[in-house]
Amino acid sequence: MRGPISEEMVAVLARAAGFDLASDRCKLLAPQLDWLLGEAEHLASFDVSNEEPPCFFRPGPMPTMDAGK
Amino acid sequence: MEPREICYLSIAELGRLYRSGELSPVEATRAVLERIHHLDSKLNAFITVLDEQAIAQARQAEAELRAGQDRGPLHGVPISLKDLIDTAGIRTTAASRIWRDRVPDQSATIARRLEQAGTVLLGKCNLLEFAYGIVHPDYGQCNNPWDPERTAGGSSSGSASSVAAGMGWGSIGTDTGGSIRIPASYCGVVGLKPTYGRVSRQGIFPLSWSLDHVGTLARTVEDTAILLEAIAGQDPLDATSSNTPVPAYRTVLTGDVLGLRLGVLEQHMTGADLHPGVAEAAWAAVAELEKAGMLAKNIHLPSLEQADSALLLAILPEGTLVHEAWLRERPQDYAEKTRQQLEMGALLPAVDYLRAQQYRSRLMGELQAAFQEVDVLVNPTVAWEALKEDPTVAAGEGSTEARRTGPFNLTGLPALSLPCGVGKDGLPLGLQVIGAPFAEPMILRVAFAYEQCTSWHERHPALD
Repeated sequence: MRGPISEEMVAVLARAAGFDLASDRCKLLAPQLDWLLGEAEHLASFDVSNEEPPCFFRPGPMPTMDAGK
Repeated sequence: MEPREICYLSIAELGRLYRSGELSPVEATRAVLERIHHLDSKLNAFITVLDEQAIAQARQAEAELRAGQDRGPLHGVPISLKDLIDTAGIRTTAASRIWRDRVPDQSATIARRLEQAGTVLLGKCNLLEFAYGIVHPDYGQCNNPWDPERTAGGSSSGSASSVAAGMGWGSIGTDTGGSIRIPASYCGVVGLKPTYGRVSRQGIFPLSWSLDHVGTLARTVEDTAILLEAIAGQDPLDATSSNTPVPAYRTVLTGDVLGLRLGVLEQHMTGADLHPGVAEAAWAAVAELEKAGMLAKNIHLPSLEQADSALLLAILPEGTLVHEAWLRERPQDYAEKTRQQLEMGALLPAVDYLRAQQYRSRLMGELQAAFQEVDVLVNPTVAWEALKEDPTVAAGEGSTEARRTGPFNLTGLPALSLPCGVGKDGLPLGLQVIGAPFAEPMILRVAFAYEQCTSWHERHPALD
C-alpha cells in the first residue's frame, strides 16, 4: 500500500516535477493525493500487465496529411 | 406564431417553415436573441452573445434561400458553440482568466463547417474552466433551466442549458468524461459524444487528448443527426480524425427497431450511488424498447469497476501537461480547484498513467465482445438529477458523476444521452445509448425509436 501522503512528501514530489509549492498548498494537496493514489492502487490491484496500451503514435506520414491532396 | 413557440420548434420544423415562407431566418433569429436577453441573466448560459453578427448571418441566409441557394437543413438555423471552440475574430475564453481577452485569428474546423452549412452563430456558451470540472468565479455557474438554483452540469453547461431553454436550436460541446452527456441528462436534452475521431478537434482547446471528443447538444434525436452530419468527417488538420465515410444519419430514423438486440449494462443499473427513481426510469425505458421489438439481455463487463480510477489516472497527467506552462507562470489565474487538479496531475507516477492506458485495452476488449452479442448498450447517464453545483473531477463525487459516461471516453465508443423521465425532485433524467465504433447510425436509430414511443423530449422548463 502507498501512503499515507504527508505535506512533506507532496513538497518532495512537486519539487521532483519542477514545482516549488508553498507549505499551505502541500497541506491542501496531501489528502487529495492520498485519495488519488488509493485510486491508483485500486487499479494496480487489477492485473492488466498483459494488455497492449492503445497507441496514439502513427509512424510515417500522418494519414490525414494526404487527405486534402 | 408566438416567439416561445418559434424557439421550441425542431431544426427540421424550422427548415420546413423557412422553405414554405411561413417563417424567415431573420424572424427566428430575432425571436431567439430576445429570448436570450430575457432569460440569460437567470441562466448565465452565454459568455458572448453575437446580436449584430447573428442578424447579418440570418439576413444572408434569408437572401440565399429566396434566391434558391439552399445549403441544406442547417441553413439559417441559429446555434451556439462552447466557448473553447475557436472562432475567428470572436473572443474565445474557455471560461478562464488566462484566455479572458483572447481573440483567435482562425476558426476551428467544425466552426467553419457549420458556417458553410449556413448556420447563424448566436454566441459562445459558458463552461467549466477549460472544461476541467470547476466554475471560474469570473464567469460564474451556468444554471439549470429546470431549477436555476442548480447547475446545468458540466462541462458543456451553457450548451445544454441554452438548448433546453429554447435559446438556440443546437450547440456544439466537448466531452472528456461525460461533459456533453452529463449536462444533457441534467437539462433534459439530447447529447451525443460520437466515436473518437469521428469529429475534428482542430481549433478546440484540449483537456486530455486521448479522451477528448467533440459532439452535439440538441432537443431531438433528428436534430442531433442533422448537426452530426454537418460536423463529422476527416480533417487534414486533425491527425486523430478518421477517414471512415460519413453516412446520411437521418435516413436511419425510421422508428423501426424490431429484432435489434439491446444490452442492459447491469452493473450500472444498480449501486448505492443511484438516487431513487433513476434505475426505475432506465428500466422503464428498456421496457419501452422491448415493446418496440428489441430483444433485451443483461451484459456484465468484468473490468468495469476499475473505470473510475483509470479515467482519473488518464485525465490528470494529460491535463497537467496541456496546462504546464500556465501552471508555472500564472497559477493564481486558475480557479482554486482547477489549480489543485492541475497540481495533482504533476504528482502522479508515470506507471499509473500507463497502467490506465493498459486498462483501456482490457475494457475495449470486453466491450468488443459485448457488441458481438448486442447492437447497443443502455444505462442511466448519471446516478442522480442535477446537483446544486458541479463536483470536482478528482474527488469522490466527481468520480461518481462520471461513472456511467467515462468508460466510453476510455474506449472512444459513441454514446448518446436522451431524456427518459424525471427524478424525485422533478428534474430530468437521461438514458444513455452506447454503440460499437462508428455505430452512430445504430444509436441514433434506437434513440429515435425510443423518442417516438415517449414524450419526454416534448417537455420544456417553465421559464417564461
